[in-house]
Amino acid sequence: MIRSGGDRATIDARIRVAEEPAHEVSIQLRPGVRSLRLDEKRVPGPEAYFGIVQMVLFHPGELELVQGGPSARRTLLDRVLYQTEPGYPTAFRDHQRALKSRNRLLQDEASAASIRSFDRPLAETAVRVVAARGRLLHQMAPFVAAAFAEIAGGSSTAAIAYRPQCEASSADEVLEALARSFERDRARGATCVGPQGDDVEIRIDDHPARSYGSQGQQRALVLAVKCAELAVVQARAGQLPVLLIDDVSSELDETRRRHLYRTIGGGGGQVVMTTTDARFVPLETLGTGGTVTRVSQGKLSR
Amino acid sequence: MRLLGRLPGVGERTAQRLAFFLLRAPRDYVTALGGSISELQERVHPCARCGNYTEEEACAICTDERRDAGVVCVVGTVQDLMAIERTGRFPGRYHVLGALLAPLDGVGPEDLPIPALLERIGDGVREVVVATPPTVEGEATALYLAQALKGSNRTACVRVTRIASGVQYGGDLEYADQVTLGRALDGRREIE
Ligand SMILES: [Zn+2]
Repeated sequence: MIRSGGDRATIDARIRVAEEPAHEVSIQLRPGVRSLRLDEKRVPGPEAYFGIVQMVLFHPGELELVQGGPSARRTLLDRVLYQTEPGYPTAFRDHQRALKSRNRLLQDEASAASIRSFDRPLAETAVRVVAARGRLLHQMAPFVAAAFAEIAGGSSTAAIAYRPQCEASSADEVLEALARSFERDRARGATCVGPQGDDVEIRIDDHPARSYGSQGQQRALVLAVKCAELAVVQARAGQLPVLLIDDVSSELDETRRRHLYRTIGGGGGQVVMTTTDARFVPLETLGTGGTVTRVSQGKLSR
Repeated sequence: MRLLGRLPGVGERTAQRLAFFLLRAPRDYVTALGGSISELQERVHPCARCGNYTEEEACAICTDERRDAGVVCVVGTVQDLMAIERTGRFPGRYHVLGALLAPLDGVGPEDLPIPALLERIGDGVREVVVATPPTVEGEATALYLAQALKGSNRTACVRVTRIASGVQYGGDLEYADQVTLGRALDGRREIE
């Protein structure tokens, strides 16, 4: 965020994981331009930071996960996979590139031969994306069920499952599906087959959570998903992720806030929280060592 | 210094170092260097047959009678051709495309020298090895070429192979080490 009247904002951080040498991260924002550096070298995107330290983000508006469209749920999966599967960023980016290329050809009504020449790169990257997402959901599902039972209390149950657009387990199967949908793709000017159409099904008591769950249940479910994300990132990375909690106090009631703080406090990792009211952040339940920084009229004070 | 800084891989600091080096260098060296640079584009041009750089009508590889004219390796760039030459494992000749199919950059099949390739393949060529890089565009180009070769009467019987994926996907042939690239060549397989 750029201070009013200013022309840029800079964030510098030093990241030190266990006994490894520290890394310097610097992010500079100017209107319309974001420049990122890692150890004084420019990097193209934030994924350059992901290999060093894992992050789990809680922010208001996560209710989108239950109430919104599939893209918020895919983003959740991709964020975890970017941070925990070394081959995923490449597979995902290549899939995007193949998809955009093929879609451009479909829109331009290019020859069938041109369009089909992108089918194999598309299929090969698609299976890698789908396999990684499948493994992740498989690992997350029991954590979500357990966390929901604990947070929501009562006898209601929650479940999440991966719903890939294309169930194929090999590139050849994806190729067949692409061939079958060729005329449809041409008519639509876009590729219908592949992980860009994936979703995560979220259910409460075996009904779709979006229409069936109460507001309270939906909020509990979102928190359960985030707790599962935290547990899975930690299990996969073998180290504690940094938790970033943005104004969570406004989203959660007293009971759920306490559950969240218990989960965090038990973890022992680093937590960065923002709030508009310090009473929402009980430092004593979070263990020792907390630092409070106040932002007032554009100035920071401790 | 501003002109030097436009060279690939040359930043501000390197440009400065080069400029100071040239200021202090012997006069005849600087004259010779300047002459070579300004003649470069006049004297060096693509080989009429394969697209490799040459000062003659046809390049040293195309005119070398010891090379196997029955095997043609299709590459994206002259740099990739040189990378394959460095392995010392390829006995045949080349065909440089100069670009890859890249719809996002507006490059289509009509921008590639495919007719010239089909023309060349007609007589005595047994195998075409497609060594475009293992990227989305490189793979798509390989598949497009294979279809084009299979679809033309004159070339339908030619074996079309693809270098093995020993080179990492999303990688760059130019920077692959010689052993890896050599293995990728040896492990080439027919494109279905
Ligand atoms: Zn030549």
